Order: sequence, then C-alpha cells, then structure tokens
Amino acid sequence: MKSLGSLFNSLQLQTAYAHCDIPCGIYDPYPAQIAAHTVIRMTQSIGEAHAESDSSEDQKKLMHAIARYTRVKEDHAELVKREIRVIWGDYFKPEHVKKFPKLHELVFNIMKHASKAKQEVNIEEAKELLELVQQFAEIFWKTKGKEPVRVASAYPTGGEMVIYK
Amino acid sequence: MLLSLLKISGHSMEPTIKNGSIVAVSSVPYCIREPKVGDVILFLHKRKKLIKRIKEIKNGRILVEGDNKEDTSNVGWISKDELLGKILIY
Repeated sequence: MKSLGSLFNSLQLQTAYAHCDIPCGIYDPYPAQIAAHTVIRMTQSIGEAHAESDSSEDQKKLMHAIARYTRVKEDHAELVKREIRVIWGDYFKPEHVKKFPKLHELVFNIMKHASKAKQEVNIEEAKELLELVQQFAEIFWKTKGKEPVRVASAYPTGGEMVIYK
Repeated sequence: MLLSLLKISGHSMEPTIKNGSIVAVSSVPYCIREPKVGDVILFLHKRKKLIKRIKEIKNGRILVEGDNKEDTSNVGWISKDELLGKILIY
C-alpha cells in the first residue's frame, strides 16, 4: 500500500522475499541451442580428424585432438541437459503444460538424445538433438507471448537458431 | 506474531505487491481459521521469509505461487509448519 510505504519508509523493517534463490525471470533457451550446435560441430570434427602420417608423433596428435573434441562434445551435451532442465523445472508451470501437452515428452527426448550424443559419434543424433532443443525454444517463446522464428545460424555447423520476432 | 510490518524484496508478487513495498502480516487469522486458497501468506523457506499466494491445499500441505506470471521460479509445496502468517495489508 503506497501510504504505508511512505509512512514507514524510514523504519528499519525486516525483509520478506518475493522471489526464491535467484533473480526473477531470467530464462532463455539460447545457451542450450549454442551447446547443441557445439555437439554437432565436435561430432563433425571427430569425423574429420585424421593423422598426417603413421608416425607416432602424428598418431599422438590425432589422439590428442580427438580427446579434446570428445571432451567438448561431452561437456556441451551435458550443458544442453542442464539448460533445458533448469528452464523446464524452474520456468514452466502446469498451465504451460496444459497448453503444450507434449512438453514433458519433448524434455524427456532431449535428455535421451543428449545422452546418445555423448555415447556415440553420430551426426544424425547430434542434429536431432538440436532439432528437439529448437522445438523446446519455440514452445518457450510462445509461453512468453513472443512469435518464434528460425534464422540461419552463423556457425560452421550451418543449421538454424530459434529467436523471436 | 500479532502484527508486523515487512519490506518486500523481489518481483514475484507483482502486480499485487510491488518490489520495495511495505506489507502488514499477522499470524492471528490462522489461529482462528485454516488458511485458504487465494490467501497471500508469509512463510519460512530455507531460512528465508517468503511471500506467495496459496494456489492449492492438499493433505496438510500448501502449494504456493507468485502472482507474477513472468517470474515462475517455483517454491512449490510447503508444510503448514512453515506458515508464519497472513498478509493483511498490501
């Protein structure tokens, strides 16, 4: 109440919090999409990796490169899972699920495909993961009252990014 | 708590209660009657005093939620033991 506010503004009052543990309303599926693109790129890089020769030095270089690509693929597939899980668990409400009844199934499939993308060197799996994350992003922006659009990404992976108009 | 004044920090109850506003809270109403859906309540959650609106009550547990649809960070279900009082004036 405004009058209460002005009357007691100078008093040292206890605080009641109208939020949880984090700042309010900062959710965006963009990082999940970047991570999914990275999974694609690392899968491509592993597929393209080759040794310059049969020498032990070149073999070591190849192993080293593949180890690094695999590590990044692993980390970013996990990042996809984390980003999606946080939005799904903290942002989405039951009324959103009523409006988009396939949301839970979509998240379940993202988790499964992200695990598959970690386990395998499979470009189709990686592309499917991105597609599912983009479907998730489209639902997210619709719940925000925004019109989602797919635009060409500027990444070496090609493909698209979901943003809103 | 007979009657206490609290300053609100956060946006989850907007537009009903704005960030920085002052509210009056009392535990007396819940000595007389049970909490009901729609009440704005003060409760203790993870050692913090929070305010939210009661969305549902089931098996002695209370589902709380903010009014701000843009802020959907959920507390979820709380126990009646965590209830501190009803927000009377805001």
